[in-house]
Amino acid sequence: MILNSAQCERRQVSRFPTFTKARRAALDRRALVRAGEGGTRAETRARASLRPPRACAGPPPARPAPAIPWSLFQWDWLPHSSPSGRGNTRASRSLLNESTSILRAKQRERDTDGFAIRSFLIELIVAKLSDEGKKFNDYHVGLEHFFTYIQRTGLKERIAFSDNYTSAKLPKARIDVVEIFDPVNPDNNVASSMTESERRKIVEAAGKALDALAFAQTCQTKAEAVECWQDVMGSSFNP
Amino acid sequence: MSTSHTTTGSDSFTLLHAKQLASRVSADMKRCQHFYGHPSDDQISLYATELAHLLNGGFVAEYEFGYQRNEQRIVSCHYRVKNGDLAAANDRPGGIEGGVDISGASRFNFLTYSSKWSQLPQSERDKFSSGLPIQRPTGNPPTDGAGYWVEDKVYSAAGTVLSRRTFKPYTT
Repeated sequence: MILNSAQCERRQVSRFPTFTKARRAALDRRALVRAGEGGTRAETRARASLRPPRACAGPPPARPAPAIPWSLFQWDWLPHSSPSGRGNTRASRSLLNESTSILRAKQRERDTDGFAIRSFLIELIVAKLSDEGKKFNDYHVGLEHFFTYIQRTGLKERIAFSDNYTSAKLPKARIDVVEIFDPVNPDNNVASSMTESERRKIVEAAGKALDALAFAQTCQTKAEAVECWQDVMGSSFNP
Repeated sequence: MSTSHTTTGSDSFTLLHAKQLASRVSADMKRCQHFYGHPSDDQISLYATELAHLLNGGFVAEYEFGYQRNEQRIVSCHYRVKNGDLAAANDRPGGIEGGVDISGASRFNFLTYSSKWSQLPQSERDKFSSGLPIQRPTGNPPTDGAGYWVEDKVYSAAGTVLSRRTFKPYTT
């Protein structure tokens, strides 16, 4: 006689009469769940998890070689991503979030002294750049946009959003060293605590990060590229 | 192009070393792009490839790129090639002067050939040049504008050294 897995499990339970009635019932129920015959909602979920995984579409397509003719140079060291090459589509929106996460991770990293910027400020700067049409569909390019903006403006440009209030509601005169206004409250400058020396440190750190990103793109070995990325992301970065 | 030159008895300068040096110069170009928008990535790649081949042949004496206005430098990076220094430092590229007003300025990229290049017969030079991604006309580099030079970086590989100096404008 050939038993299915549920029957096997029931038979196994019956071989251990020391089990309590409740325990046996639980095991019976689990066996039924495995066999796909019923159970509670949680058990249905458990059964779903036992289903074979969906077939995936195969390995991701190889990234096309950069269209640079006559090139001796490797321009494609980690970490990059280039899903569609289009603007801030849903895919690149998620990459925007990932780029923000990278920057926030960097902010948390202990060994990146000088880059003491709150993660909310990072999010707002990235959101502003995205609103301006800067593309974040590639980590490298996205990080370059972020640091270039900081270095170019020195964080002296006012950052505000018009989604929930008009610019007329913002203070007319400059009120703080760095002005990044809360998207929902025009009276709240979320960067009000930043001092001039902190601003300078951040701008200097952004310059160093751009130096590292530039060399990470053009250097000739992966080891050098990783070293550069560790300068940007912290020593724990290890692709 | 399989040329290479020997800088000492033991260290032979190869295309790999030339690429290492050119990659540092191209990182400086990339930083220039961050600030001023040019040269593009494609152009940087072509410049770097050209420089790597010329360095590999030992044909470069000086290399410079930057911005000029009225035939005068505003901001630039200048590299002088020296051979035979195995103890030279090899700095990380970067530290380009940013925030300079380049309105009304134009880009330039000059290369000065070495004496080794001059010693080649014309046919060899033509043959070599035709294989490079950039064809250069002759011309004169700009003169110094209102600014000053700073020697700030040294790039080296297998005894060949690129000493970098940058031209920075006076701040008002």
